[in-house]
Parts: sequence; structure tokens; C-alpha cells
Amino acid sequence: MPRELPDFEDPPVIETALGVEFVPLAEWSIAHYGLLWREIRGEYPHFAVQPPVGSQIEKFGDEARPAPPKLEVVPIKAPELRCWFTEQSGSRLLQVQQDRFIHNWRKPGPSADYPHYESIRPIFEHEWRRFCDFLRRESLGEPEVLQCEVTYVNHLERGRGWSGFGEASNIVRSWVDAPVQFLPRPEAMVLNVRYLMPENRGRLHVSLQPAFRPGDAKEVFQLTLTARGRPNSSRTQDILAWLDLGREWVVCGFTDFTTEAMHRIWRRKEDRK
Amino acid sequence: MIAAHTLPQPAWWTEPPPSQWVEVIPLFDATERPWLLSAANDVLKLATLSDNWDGEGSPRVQPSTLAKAVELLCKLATAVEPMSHVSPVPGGGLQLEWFLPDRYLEIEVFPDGSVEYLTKRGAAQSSEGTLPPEDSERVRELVAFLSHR
Repeated sequence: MPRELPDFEDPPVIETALGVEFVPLAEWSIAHYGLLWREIRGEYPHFAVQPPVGSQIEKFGDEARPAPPKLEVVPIKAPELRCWFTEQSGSRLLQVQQDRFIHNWRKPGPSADYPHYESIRPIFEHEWRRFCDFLRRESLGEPEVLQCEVTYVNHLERGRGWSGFGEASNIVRSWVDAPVQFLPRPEAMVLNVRYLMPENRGRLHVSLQPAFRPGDAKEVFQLTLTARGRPNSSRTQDILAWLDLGREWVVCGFTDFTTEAMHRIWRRKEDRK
Repeated sequence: MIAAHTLPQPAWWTEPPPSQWVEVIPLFDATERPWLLSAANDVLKLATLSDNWDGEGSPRVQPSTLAKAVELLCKLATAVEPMSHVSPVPGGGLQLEWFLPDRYLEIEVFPDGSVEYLTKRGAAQSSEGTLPPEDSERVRELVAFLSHR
């Protein structure tokens, strides 16, 4: 398990996702969604069809340069889709498609505590192993893993450390509200920042987006951190090792990216020692 | 077989995580009008009202009603003309209004989630109806009504 990381008593995280992207399973078909659901239905009684998630493989160096436009012939395939299998409590979700497996946790209510990565990681491991067992039994092969992904979605509600969508300096440590001669304070802003991990082990994407949360009619800054990268192999232990690395980048990145004033609101644990 | 012309994604592009489960409506987007932010803010100020805000026993405006109104504003956000006014109405609903020199649009959001609208052009022409959430054609008509003289 990873080293001890910054922790908060009241973190703004409302969702986490641990996922794996793999080479599309050649023999996967719509029927397999039903077969899989039959196995997990006791724990995941709700089912929904979603459009598929597109491939998002990180590229580095020369391969990251945009390729020239090209004309290509694409064979017509069976319709692609993604299935959501939702747990009874509504706080956990499995997303499955021909080349993707994702486990999501979301905050079930305002007073619910974040269960922390240490609790979610074993659940992901259990579900991933069960999925791989299913693939083996159905003669669909072993997934050839291309990339792992860790995503944390944070909601910073208006009134808790900020009051206007132009107040990034209240939230983002590196944003300086220096006096300017002409421009007023921004009315609103969207930030997209990305960081390269050493030795091209992956990339961390950070986005800050003004948003409206329909569930309780609140305005929020949605601060999303996503780490993606390739594990050393398709073995489960290597996948977990990369997820640990991605989680470390997300948590340390979150702490570095945000201001100490916000850390006090979220009650950073070392502040209380 | 089909032929597809593929364009590369710009190297700087950062996509939002499509794996996200929690639903939000982005309030700052190149396709939206600048007035959306302030209009949404005006609507959400009604959350501070308490029961009996009108002295006549009206209930406060519930979060679900506010959410419905902001969702509607987002759908109408491609319209050129900004919302003029929002006000609570007796019974727990709220009313969005656009006052334009030759046109008027009023949208009322009720506590049960239903929506009704009224348009007026000049003194004579007016129309009204319901606005079910799945009726994207009616939304397009209202956007056109707000955007074209």
C-alpha cells in the first residue's frame, strides 16, 4: 500500500473512479452484459445502458504530436455501448464496455463520510478479479491492459471559501490575484492543467469548472483530478500498483493545487495535530 | 462499409472524465451566453426565502424547483437576449421573465416540476402552453423567439 498521504477530515470529494482500459475484447457481445449481470445482480440490482466512453490513451514524446488528417475506411460493427450496474445503496457503480472496466464510488448524501482509498481499493480488486474470471469462463480471453485511471471529483460549494466564479485565487494556490491596471477581477474561469509524471509513467489532468449541481440546486466549482498511465503489465498486482501511484498523484496534486485557506475549511489532519 | 474522415484531437485538449457518475451542468462554456451565470445566480438567491415569504402563507421555493429553473435556463442559454427578471410566485413556484421592446416571454416553474410558458408579441399576438422536459422542439422555438426580431 502507498505511503501516508495528506488527509482531510471533511474533504470535498463527492466521487472517485478507479478504471482500466484494455484492448477491445474481440468476442465481446451484447449478450455478455446480460451474462455478467446474472452473476452480479445480487449486489448490483440496477442496470442502465449508456453510450460508450471513448479511448483516452495518454501519449508521450513524438507519439503525442497530432497526426495529419487521414481518410480511413471503418467497418460497420455491432453497436457499441456501456452498461452501468448500480449497487443497491446507490453509492457504488460498475461500468463495463468492450474495452473498459470502471468502479465508481459517489457520496450518497451530504453527511456521508468519504470511505477513503484504503476501503475502495479492495473492492475494485475484488470486482476486477471477478470480471476477469467471468471473461475466462466465457472464453473471452485475458484483458490486455493498456492504461489505468484514477479520478477524484470534488465539489467546492459556493459560500465555503469562495463567493464568485472569478475567485480562483481563493482556491488555486498558484493563481495570484495581482493588481492589474485595466482588467477587473474575472467574472468566471475554467482551468485545465496537466502534469507529466516522471519517466512518462502517466499524466495528471486537473480541471476547475463552474457548475450547477441539480440534485440540491447548488453552485459549485467542480475540481476534477484524473491520473492516467500504463501499468507494468496486465497482472492485477501491477494494475493495483499503478492505481496506488495514480492515487498518490491525485491526492498530493490536490493538496499542492489548492490553497491552505481551503485546507483549513476541509480540516487537513496535520493542521489539527 | 463506411468511409470516415478522421481529424486528430489537438494535443492540448483535455477532455472531462466521461467516466463521471455525479451529474452537473457546466455553467461556463463557449457555447453558452454570458448572461447564464448571472441569471442562474439570481434564481438561486431565491433559496434564501423562508416559508410565508409573502405574508400569505406561501411555502419557500424548494431546491428541486430551483434546479428545474436552472436546467431550463441552460437549455435556453443559446438565446441572445438575457433573462430580465426572476421572482417567486405564491404556492412555491417561480417565474422567469424576458422583457424585450416588442416581445415578452414568461416561464413559470411549479413545485411539482411542471412548466408553463406565455409569449406575447406586440399587443395582439400571444400564445401559451406547457413545456414538458422532453419537448426540445418547443425549447428551440422559445430560443428562436428570444433571438430573432
